[in-house]
Amino acid sequence: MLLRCNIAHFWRRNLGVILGSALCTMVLAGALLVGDSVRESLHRIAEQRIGQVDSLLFTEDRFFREALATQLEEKLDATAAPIFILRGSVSNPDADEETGQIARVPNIQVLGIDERFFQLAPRDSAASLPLEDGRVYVNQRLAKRLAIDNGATLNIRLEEPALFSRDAPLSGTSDKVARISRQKVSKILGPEEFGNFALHGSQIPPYTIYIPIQSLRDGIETEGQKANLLLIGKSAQTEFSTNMANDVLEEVWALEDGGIEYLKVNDGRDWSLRSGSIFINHVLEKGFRKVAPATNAGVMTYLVNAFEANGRTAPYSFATAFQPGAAPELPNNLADDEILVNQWLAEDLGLKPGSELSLKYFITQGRRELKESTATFKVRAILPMPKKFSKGQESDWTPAFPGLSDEENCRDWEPGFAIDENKIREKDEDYWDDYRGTPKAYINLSAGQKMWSNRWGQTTGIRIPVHKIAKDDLDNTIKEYVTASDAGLHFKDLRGKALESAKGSIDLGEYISYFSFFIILASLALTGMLFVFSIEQRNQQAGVLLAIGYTEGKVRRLFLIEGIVLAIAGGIVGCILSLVYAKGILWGLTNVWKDATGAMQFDFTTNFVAISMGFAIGIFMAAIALWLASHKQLRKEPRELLNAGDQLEIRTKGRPTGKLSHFLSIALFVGGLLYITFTGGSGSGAASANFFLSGFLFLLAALFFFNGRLARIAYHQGDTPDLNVLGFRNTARRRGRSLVTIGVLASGVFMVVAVSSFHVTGERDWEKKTSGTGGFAIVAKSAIPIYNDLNTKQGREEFGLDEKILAKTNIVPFRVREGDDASCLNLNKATEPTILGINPSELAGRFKFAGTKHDWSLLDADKNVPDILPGIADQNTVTYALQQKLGGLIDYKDENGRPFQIRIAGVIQGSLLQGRVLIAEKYFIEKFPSQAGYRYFLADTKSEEIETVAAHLSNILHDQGMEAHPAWKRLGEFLAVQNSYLSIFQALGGLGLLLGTAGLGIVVARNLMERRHELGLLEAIGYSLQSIRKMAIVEHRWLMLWGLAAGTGTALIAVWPAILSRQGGFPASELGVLLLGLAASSLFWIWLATILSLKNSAIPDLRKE
Amino acid sequence: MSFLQLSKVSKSYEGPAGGQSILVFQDANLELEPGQSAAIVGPSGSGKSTLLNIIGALDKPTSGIVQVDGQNIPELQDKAAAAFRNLTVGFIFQIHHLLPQCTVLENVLVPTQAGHTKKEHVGVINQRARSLLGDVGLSQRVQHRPGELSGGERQRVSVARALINQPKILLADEPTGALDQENSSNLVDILLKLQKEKNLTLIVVTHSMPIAEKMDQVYRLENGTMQKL
Ligand SMILES: Nc1ncnc2c1ncn2[C@@H]1O[C@H](COP(=O)(O)OP(=O)(O)O)[C@@H](O)[C@H]1O
Ligand SMILES: [Mg+2]
Repeated sequence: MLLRCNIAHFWRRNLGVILGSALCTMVLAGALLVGDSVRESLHRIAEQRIGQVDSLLFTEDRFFREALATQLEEKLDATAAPIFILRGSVSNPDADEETGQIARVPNIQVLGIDERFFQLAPRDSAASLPLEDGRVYVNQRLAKRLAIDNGATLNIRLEEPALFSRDAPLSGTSDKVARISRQKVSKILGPEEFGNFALHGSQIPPYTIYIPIQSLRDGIETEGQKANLLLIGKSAQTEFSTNMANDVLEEVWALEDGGIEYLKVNDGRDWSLRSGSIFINHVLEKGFRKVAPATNAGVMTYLVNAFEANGRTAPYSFATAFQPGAAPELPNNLADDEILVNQWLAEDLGLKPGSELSLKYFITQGRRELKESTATFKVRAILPMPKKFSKGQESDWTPAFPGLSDEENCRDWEPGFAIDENKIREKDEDYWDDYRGTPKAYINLSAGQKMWSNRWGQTTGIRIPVHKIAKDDLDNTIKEYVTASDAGLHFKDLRGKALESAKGSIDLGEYISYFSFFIILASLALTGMLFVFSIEQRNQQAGVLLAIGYTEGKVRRLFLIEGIVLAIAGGIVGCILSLVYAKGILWGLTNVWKDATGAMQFDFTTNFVAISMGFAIGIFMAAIALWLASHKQLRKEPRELLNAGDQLEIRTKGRPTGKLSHFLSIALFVGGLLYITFTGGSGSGAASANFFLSGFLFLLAALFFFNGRLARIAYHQGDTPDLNVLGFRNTARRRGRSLVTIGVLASGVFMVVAVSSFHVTGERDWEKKTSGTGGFAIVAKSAIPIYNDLNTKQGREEFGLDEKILAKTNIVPFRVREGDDASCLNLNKATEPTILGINPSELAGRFKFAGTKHDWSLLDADKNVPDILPGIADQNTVTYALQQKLGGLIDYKDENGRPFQIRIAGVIQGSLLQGRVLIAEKYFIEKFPSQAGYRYFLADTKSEEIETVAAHLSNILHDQGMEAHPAWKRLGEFLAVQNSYLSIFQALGGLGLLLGTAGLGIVVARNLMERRHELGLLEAIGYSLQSIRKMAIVEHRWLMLWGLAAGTGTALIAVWPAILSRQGGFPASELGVLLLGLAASSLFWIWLATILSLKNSAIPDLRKE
Repeated sequence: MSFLQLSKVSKSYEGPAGGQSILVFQDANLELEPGQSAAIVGPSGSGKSTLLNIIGALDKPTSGIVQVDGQNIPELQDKAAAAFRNLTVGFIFQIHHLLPQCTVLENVLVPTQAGHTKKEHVGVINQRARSLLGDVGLSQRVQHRPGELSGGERQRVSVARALINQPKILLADEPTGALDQENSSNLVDILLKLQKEKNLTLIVVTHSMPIAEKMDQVYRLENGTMQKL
């Protein structure tokens, strides 16, 4: 009964409680809602990215038959879309730069598709998009970038894909760029029409152009109905899984799909099994040999630059290494130093059995550098010449080397290095006409492999006798020993991976909750304080209740329940407000802090669970605050309560010295210090629990310090009681109130100051090798790999790069295995981040490692466990995107679908290598042998030439889709993301400050209201209203100063490690400005509250008793 | 003309929103010389405090003249009025309104800091405050806080505070209202003693006839008129 009357009567006075719990619930539920909305939005984006696709088969440079799609479709009862996916660049020949159109966009995704692709689009209605010849679609992002509309005409540049790794020797010319010109844009695809299709997870879709698959195949001169990407989805089978797709693939794949070829040799007596990539990789070789375990023979044919003997030279010929049984006419017992030569060569060089013959040949090192080696053999016998070849016939021994086998003349050869045409004689051309690539010499296979084996393989053919396997059976027999996966064909679970990464690496909701911590504390402190105010005003009621025999507990319960009922009311209001609050934050994320999210559009989701959780926690915490507040308040005698002067708190018996408080203060401070020393504290960034815990300890220490100090101030005496003294002493009158004010202000200041000292810039110190740029001036990326060493004269000439402009430029190339972007630009969780392969010595001394003893040589370490490679990544990438630690393992699959792991052996800090994992090149090529060339580059150059060099690289290499930028700018983009996050947190800190100043205002008003009698008296004895206001301002100015000091001091201590390691040094001026601003705005609020509460003379209050 | 003279002083308050104005009193007259004391008695609500506040420049009359030392008080501007209250008048209220954060001594010193006095040497005013506290029998309690004093003691502190700026007029509005009999008469004795010593004009508002009769003159305020008894 009493409760009901009380609530009905006093709810207005308890508005503070309602407000406080509303605020608390709003902030909590809001943070949770934001987290949910971000997750939901990422989920939606992931769904748009993959459409209705479940699994994918991606073979990059190897092509399979489009027919595979049809077969899988039937067996799986699903939709399968064959696609040709390539990287390239696009240009708009009609670009009108004055209207903001851009002439060229490098690094785009080119999709060769047919109608089946759109059947898998997110929306079914997109399925009927007809794509005619000569027409292309672009996605919205590309259209926006180019600022084009339907009807625009575009040119596309792509690398002609090659089956045979372009890093390999004899792989032909490297700069095969195909052009597909004048394609008319007939539609701009939105997300629902598969405009955001991408293989890797990111909230930002790639630039994409869609072209009919046949037009693409024509453009890159690929024969047959081939594709390199197969999407499967919309299966009618309920229990469809990627494993099922792989099982069916095992059944239906053809050797052709895996680049496996065979032909009859030795006049039909033997099969020669070969690889479309010329060199047979180890997995295939093993399988091939199992087809006829006892009777197989390996063969390796290679180009010899020159045979030399007796001072004579025969240029550019093939030689073959063979195993016994490879051909009936060859002996079985050739020693390693013996060689067989054919009649032609013997005659040409004047060779006889026993003569010495040396071979000159190229082997490739890293960047397509060719090294000529020489080996010498003894001629064992001279072989007769075969019959002359008829047109189109090719030697049994020689696979189809690109740029050689299909040429009419020797002089037209393009083996991938410069042919010295002067050396080619008429008789060499005749030999080519008559015998094509017939080897002129034969050696033992082991001798040949010693010279010529490489990372792609150590044979070019495996021969097995025909009588072992009938023609009809050969395909199946090979498939018995070689699985689709061995041949590089395996489906990956696209949907599973996409949905997993959409769970998000960065739980914004969680971070926002962290950063709301102080706001919540502050609003609770305010709630408690306001509740105390209302109880105080009802001291007499409490006194009466106690006097008439209510127990203290009962009275407290009465007040408490009243408070909680109001808190619940506030909580409900808070829930409603949380919707607005969360929407506000999401709006901010899209529009204000867009660097952090790539200006992503978030879907707002109203999650009942999140709201009720925020509600429950908010009410619970408010209840605790109320309990704490009422607890203290009612521990008074009823007589005192009845007399209820506002003097209540000035109980002056037994002078507290503040000793205990000071002791606690020091203890907490030391505790905080120890905490940051032993945990590394805030070193790891603003969003760490460590940072908040240590900050909390320091703030508590500060509060205890001020508690002690206020206790002492209360006992100051002997001053002349002028306005300053009176104001100063007033601070001690309501210690709890003053402490709440100081504490709430301090928390806000703490947040703002601490976070602002984490702000970083990229421009400073970029030249330092230990800075985030590693001292590099330029960062570049290409769409099409660069195979040559751009530091050599030869490599530069190859592309027409200007030796003069690049005189002072040194370029460090990185191999790239495309994966998820694990930088802070990506909100998704990166499951398989992009791998960069580097030569560790080229980065020696660059970048800053987290571990003092760490350096790049970590990458060279032996794999002590097979298939665990040492890797290095950026700290942010490791912590946030990968959610890993030093020593953590990341799962990968190699080119053939076999699993391996990268162990994080070292961590670098604040670098532009964010988002990627670096491993040694030697391990990279072991795992991804066909990932040829380099696509990521860091370059040194003179600082005044950065722009020139970057522009030069971008222009000259624009066919390769090269984009070069000043490194510090790129770093700045990453830092902008970080700063953007910091701004979010700063905004939350600002909200805390707002609360702090609101609290200050409330306290000012409350204090002045309580003291009106006293102020009236001062006026009566001759103080002017103005001087009384001044006194009030002095008093609260102290509270403000202490709050600022406590917040700033604790913040600086808590972030000290971060400040020390900060590149820009101590941000004195920024902090100074910030603090001045804070002080000014707080002063304004104090002034305003004073003016408003002391608008009129307090003299009339003298008569109110 | 007397040192303190009220002639035909009337006070009325505006009625609630356009209503009739409420008359508190009309044509009150009073004359006092330095060294004279007067009591004002009357039922509560009769306007005693109002009259005292008009004399002390805390309130303005609706009409009439209030002269102190030849000066018309209601005509004083804010600042001059404040200075008048600070320097010429000493107030004692029913509630002491001592500042809890200050010691007894400091409380007594508060009026010296209002900015109307010439800067006096700290030692001088301290000395004066201590001697006043001695006069009211509190020389042992100068360093205590108001919270540590009894009601009677607190009221005596406010007497010392009223006298610190050496005023000419002492205005006491029911100074014993919250005190028991013994403390009341003690306080009145102190007031009268100091009034004589310092040759002050003293006006006391009280309900107690015994106290009133200790004053040189007694006025009764009732039904809007003031009569000299
Ligand atoms: N601000 C005001 N507005 C209206 N009436 C007032 C105001 N202040 C005082 N009064 C009225 O003036 C009368 C005299 O009040 P007061 O001087 O305090 O009486 P006393 O001190 O004799 O008890 C009372 O009836 C009171 O209601
Ligand atoms: Mg009165």
